[in-house]
Amino acid sequence: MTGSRRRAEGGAGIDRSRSLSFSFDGRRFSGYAGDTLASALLASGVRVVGRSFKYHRPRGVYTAGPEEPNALVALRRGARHEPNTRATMIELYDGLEAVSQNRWPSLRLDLMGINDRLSALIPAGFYYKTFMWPPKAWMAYERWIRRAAGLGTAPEGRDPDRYEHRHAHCDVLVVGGGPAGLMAALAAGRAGLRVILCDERAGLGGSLLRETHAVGGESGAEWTRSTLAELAAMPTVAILPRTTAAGLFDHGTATLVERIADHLPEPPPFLPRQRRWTVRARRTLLATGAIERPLVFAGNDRPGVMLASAMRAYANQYGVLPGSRTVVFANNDAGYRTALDLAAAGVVVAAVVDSRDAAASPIAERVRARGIEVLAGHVVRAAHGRFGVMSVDAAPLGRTEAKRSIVCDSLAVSGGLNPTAHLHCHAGGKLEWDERRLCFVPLRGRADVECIGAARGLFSLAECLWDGARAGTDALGALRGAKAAKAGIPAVEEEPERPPQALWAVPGRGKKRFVDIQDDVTAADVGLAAREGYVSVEHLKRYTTLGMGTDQGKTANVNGLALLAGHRREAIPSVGTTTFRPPYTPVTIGALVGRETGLHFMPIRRTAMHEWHEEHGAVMIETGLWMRPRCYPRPGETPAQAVEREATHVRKTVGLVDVSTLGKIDVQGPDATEFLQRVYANNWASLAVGKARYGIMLREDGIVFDDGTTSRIGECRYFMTTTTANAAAVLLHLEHLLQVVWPELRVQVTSETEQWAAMALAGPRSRTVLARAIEGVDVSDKALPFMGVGFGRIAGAPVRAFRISFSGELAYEINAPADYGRAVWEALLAVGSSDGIAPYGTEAMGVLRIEKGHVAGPEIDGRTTAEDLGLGRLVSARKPDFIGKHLMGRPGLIDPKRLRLVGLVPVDGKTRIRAGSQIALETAPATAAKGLGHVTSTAFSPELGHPIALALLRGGLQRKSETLHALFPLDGSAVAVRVADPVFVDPEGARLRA
Amino acid sequence: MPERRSPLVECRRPGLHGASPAGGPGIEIGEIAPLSAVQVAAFDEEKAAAALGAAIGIAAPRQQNSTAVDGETAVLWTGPARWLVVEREKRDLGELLARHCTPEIAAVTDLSHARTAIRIEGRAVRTLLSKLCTLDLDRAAFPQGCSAQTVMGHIGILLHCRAEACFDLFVYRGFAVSAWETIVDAALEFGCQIR
Repeated sequence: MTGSRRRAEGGAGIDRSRSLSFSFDGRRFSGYAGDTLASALLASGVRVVGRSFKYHRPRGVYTAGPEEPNALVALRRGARHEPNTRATMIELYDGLEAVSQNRWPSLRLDLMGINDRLSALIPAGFYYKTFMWPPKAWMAYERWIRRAAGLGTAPEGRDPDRYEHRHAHCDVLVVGGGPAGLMAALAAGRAGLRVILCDERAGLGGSLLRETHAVGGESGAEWTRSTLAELAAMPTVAILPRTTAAGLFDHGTATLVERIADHLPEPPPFLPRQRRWTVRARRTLLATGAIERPLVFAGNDRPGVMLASAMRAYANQYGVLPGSRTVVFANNDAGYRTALDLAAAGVVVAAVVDSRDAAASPIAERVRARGIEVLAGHVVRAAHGRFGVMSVDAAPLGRTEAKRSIVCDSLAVSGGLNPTAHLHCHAGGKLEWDERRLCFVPLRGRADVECIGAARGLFSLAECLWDGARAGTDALGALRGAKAAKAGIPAVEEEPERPPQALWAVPGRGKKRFVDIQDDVTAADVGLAAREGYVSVEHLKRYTTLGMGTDQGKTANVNGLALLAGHRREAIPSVGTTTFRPPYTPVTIGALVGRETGLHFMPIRRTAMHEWHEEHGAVMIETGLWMRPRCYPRPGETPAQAVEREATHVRKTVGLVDVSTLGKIDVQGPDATEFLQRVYANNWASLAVGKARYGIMLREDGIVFDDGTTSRIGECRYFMTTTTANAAAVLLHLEHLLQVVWPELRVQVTSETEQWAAMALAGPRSRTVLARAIEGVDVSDKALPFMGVGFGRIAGAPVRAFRISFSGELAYEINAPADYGRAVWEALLAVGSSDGIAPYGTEAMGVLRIEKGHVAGPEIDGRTTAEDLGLGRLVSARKPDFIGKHLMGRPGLIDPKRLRLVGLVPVDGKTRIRAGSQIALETAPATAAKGLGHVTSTAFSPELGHPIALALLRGGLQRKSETLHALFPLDGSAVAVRVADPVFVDPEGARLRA
Repeated sequence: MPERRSPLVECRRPGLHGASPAGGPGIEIGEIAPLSAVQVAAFDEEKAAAALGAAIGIAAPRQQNSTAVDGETAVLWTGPARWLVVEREKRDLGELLARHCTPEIAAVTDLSHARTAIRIEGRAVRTLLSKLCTLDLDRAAFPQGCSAQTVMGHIGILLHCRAEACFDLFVYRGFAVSAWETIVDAALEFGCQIR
C-alpha cells in the first residue's frame, strides 16, 4: 500500500483519525474520511489519472470540482460499473475501486498515444473530410474511430440498485451551500419560509471550506458548522447535501439528483442509490458560485498543471500538496492568494507569473516579502514534462526572446472566474459580457429566479455574504409581503483586488495549446474552424467538439469563444455563447427512470377475473393498459389451434369470454334521452326501459367515432358501452358536450367501467346455461328477446343480463358488480359444464366477429363513415340534429367511389390474406392511384374452413364476386381474392334471434 | 350473496415488510374492504346537499377539495356539485342515497366495486406520498380534511387526509394491484406493516 506522500499539515475537511483504503488501476492506496478520490490520489503522489479523448495524452487532476475535464475514472465492477465519473467529486470510501479509462494496455504505456504524434493528420473535423469515401466504408471507419477515441465503457449487467423519485414544494429553493447560499437560507429560514438548500458536495460550505478567510472571527469551516446547525434546527428548512440541481424549468420546477449511496460500496437495504427530486419552488436562488478559467499556452494540459482554485482547495481543505515546487501563473490577484496559501502549507513557490504589468499592490508585496519571486508582465509560454510538469518557460508578454526556464513539478493557473450561470440559462435567462470583470454575468430575467453571490459576478466573500442575506430577505418580501429583520452579516477581512487582464491565449506556434482539455480541442483548432468558415459559435462547437464532452466545456467555452472573437476581429459579446441545456452535470439514466422499470414500466389494469385466467393457463395479451386472455391453450395445443377450437366451440355449443374492458358509462338525468339523441347518429326516442340498442356515434366531421350497445335501465337512466380503446375518449367527449356545449341539459355521465365485471355467454346452448344459472329472470325468447335486458341474480350476486351478440350466436352479456365477477364467472362455468361450456379468449372473439362482419377498431379507423361500414341505414334521417349530421353530407363523404366494407375470400380457398394488404386489379405492385383499398381484418374461419378477410374496397359490394389481388409489398406476396359479402356467417341473423 | 372479493386478495401479505427502524414501522397499510362508494352528482346543488344530509346526517362539503367526516363515513367533494360518499360497507348506501336524491335533483351512481380504498398511516406517510404524487403534502398545505384528485405515476387517485398522519387513497379497481405494489415498494425503506 502506498501511503500519503504529499500530505501536509492542516486540511480541515479531512478526518485523519479515519483512514480509508482504496485501489486505482489495481494498486492499493489509502486516504482519509473527507477526501475525494482526486485528493487521495494526489496525496498518494499519483499524477497521471487518465488519457485524453483524442490524442491519448497523459492527464492529471485539473480541478477540485464538478468542472473536472481530465480525471474521469470508472468506478466499481460488474453491473455496478460506472464510467466517466469525476474523481474530484467522488467521495472516498473504504474499498473503493477505480480504474483509468481510454488507454491500452496501461495508463503508462498507451499505444494509442501515437495519435498525439499524428495530430497534424487528424485536425478538428478530420472525419468529415477524410472518411467520406467510399460511402459504405463509414461503418468500418466509425468503429475504428470509436475505439480510438472516447472515454469509459458502459456496464453490461442490469443495474442492481434502486433509483427513486420524490416531489417537494417550497417557498425558496437555494442551490449551492456556499457563503451566499447559506446566508440566503438563513435569512429565509429565520423568517419561517419553507426552504430547500441543496449542494452537490457532501459537505456544505463551498469556498468557505476551501479558502482561508475568517468569517465573523471564526474560520470558514467553523462558521459553516454553526450556520448549518442553526439551519438544521429550523423545522421549515431541509438541507440536501450530495444533491445536484441538474435542471431548472418553467413554473419554478427544478430537477435535483441526490446521491444517497454513491459514497458507499453498496446502497443500504431498501434505500435507493440515487433519488431524483422534482422541486416546485416559488422562488429559486442560484448560489452556484463561479468556475475558474484555465490559461491557454503550450503544454497547459500536462499532469501537474492545475487550476489555482483547485490547488488552494487541495492545500486548505484536504491538506494535500499537489507539488513540492510550484509556479503560479495568473492574469488576476488569485495568483498571489494561491502563492500565499501554498507557501503557508509548505510548498516552495518558485515564482508568481502575473501577465499584468507591475503595479503597487499590497498582496504582491506580501508575496515578495515571503521571498517568492514575482514576474509581473510575464506569461508562462510552455510547460514541459510528458508524465508531469518538470519545468516551465516564462517570458515577458509579447517578447519571446527573453525566455527563462523555471524548474518546478507543478503549475497553478488562473484565468479569472466565470459565474456558474447554467441553471439561470435553463430557465431562459440571458447573459451579458462584463468588460471589467471579464466574464459573462447573468441578466436578471424571470422574477422567480435569481443568481446570487459569485453566480452573478460578486466574487468577494463579503459581497457573497451580503448578497445572500439580501436575497433571502427579498424573497420574504416578495412571497409574504413582509419585511424581515436585517440579518446580521458576519464581518470579513478582505483586501480589494485589481481587475484581471484579458489573456485568452499565450501566443505560440507548434506545440499544442489546449482550449478544451477534455475534448482535445486546441487554439489551432479554433483558428482552423474560423478559417474554414465556422464563425458561428454553435458551428465552432460542432465542428471542433469544443464544449461537447461530459464536462460540457465548463472550463473551456469562454476561452474558446474569446479566441473565435479574435479571429473574427469582433468583440466577445457579439460572438455570444452556446446554449446551456440541462443537465448541469451528467445524470445517470436510472435516476431519470426511477422505479418505472420492468413490469412497473406502466401500471397493469386487471379485470375481476384476471387471476382466474392466469390460473387456467390463459395466454394474456396487452390491450392498452389492460391485460386480457388471448386464448386458453390446452396441453399440446398451439395458440392458433386453441383459437380455432374456442371459436368452433362457441358456434357449436357455448363459450364464455371476459369482456370487462369494454367502456361502460352511466348516463343519468331528466334529459338523458335528449342527450343520447344528440350524441348518437341513430334514433333513441323510442327505446323502452329494459331494452338495448346498438348505437353509432359520429365525430363533428361526420366520421364514425365509436360504437356500442346502450340500454335503457330506468326512465332517466341509460347504461352506455363503448369499445375498450375509446372508453376514455368517449367519456371525455360526453363531458365536454355537457360542460361546454349543452350546459342546460340535466345529465351526468360517470365511468362505470370498473364497477362491472362483464362476460359474454355465447353459443346455441347459452340460453340453457343461463336459465339454470340465473334467478329472477325468465330467459325465454319471449320474455327476454334479442336486445332485451333482465335483472336477476347468479350465485346470489345481483346481475344484469343483456341479450346482445358480438359473435352472431345466441348470446347474453352478463354484468356483475366487480367484486362478484369471479364468483359469477365460476358459477356460469360450473352450471354450464354439463353443456360443455368452455372459456374463450379475445382472439376467438375476434374470429367470430370477423365471420359475422361486425366492424371494430381496424374498420372504425377515423377515416370511415357509417355508410362506408355498411351502417348507413342506421343513421337517422328524421332527427333534426346530432353530432356529425351537418358534415357527414360533405361531397367527399358521400362520394360513391369511397372505400366500402366488403368481405374477401382467397380464390384458392386456402391462402391466408394478410392484414394491411393493398388491393389491386393486377398482381403488379399497387400505386396510390391504382390501389383499390386495403385489407383491415383477417382470420381463418373455422366455420367456413378457409381464410376470410374484411376489407375497405373502392366500389364496395358493386364488385361482389370480382377477382382481385391482395398485395403485401413488404415481402412481395400476392393472393388472388374474391369479393364477398362481409357477413360470412348467418347473414339473416337467425341464430342470434333463436 | 357471495362474499366480495377484493382485487388485493392475492397480493396483500400481512406482516412487516422492508426495513425495521428502531421506532417501529414508519408506515402501516391496509385495505378498507368491503367498500361502499357512491357518487352523488347534483342537478340542483342545494336540494341535493339537503337530501344527502337527510340520508346520512352529514352536511355535504361545498368548498373545493374539502370533506366532511362522521366516523367511518366520509363525503368527499370531487367536483362542482359532485360528491363521493365512502364508508366501510355496512348498509346499502347506494339505495339509501338514491331514495333521498331523486332523479330530478341528482344522479346517484354506485361505484363501490369500481374503487379500491387503501389506508396509509404512520409517521412517514407524507414522505411516502411525496414519492408517489406531485401534490404539496406539507401539513399546512394539505391538512386534515383535505382531499384531492391527482395521479400516482400513471394511475389516477383520489386522496383524502383523514388525520395528520392518516390518508385514504382511492384507486380504480383495475389498477388496484399495480397501485398496491407501487405503494408497498415505496414504503419498504420506512418499514411497512401490512394489515
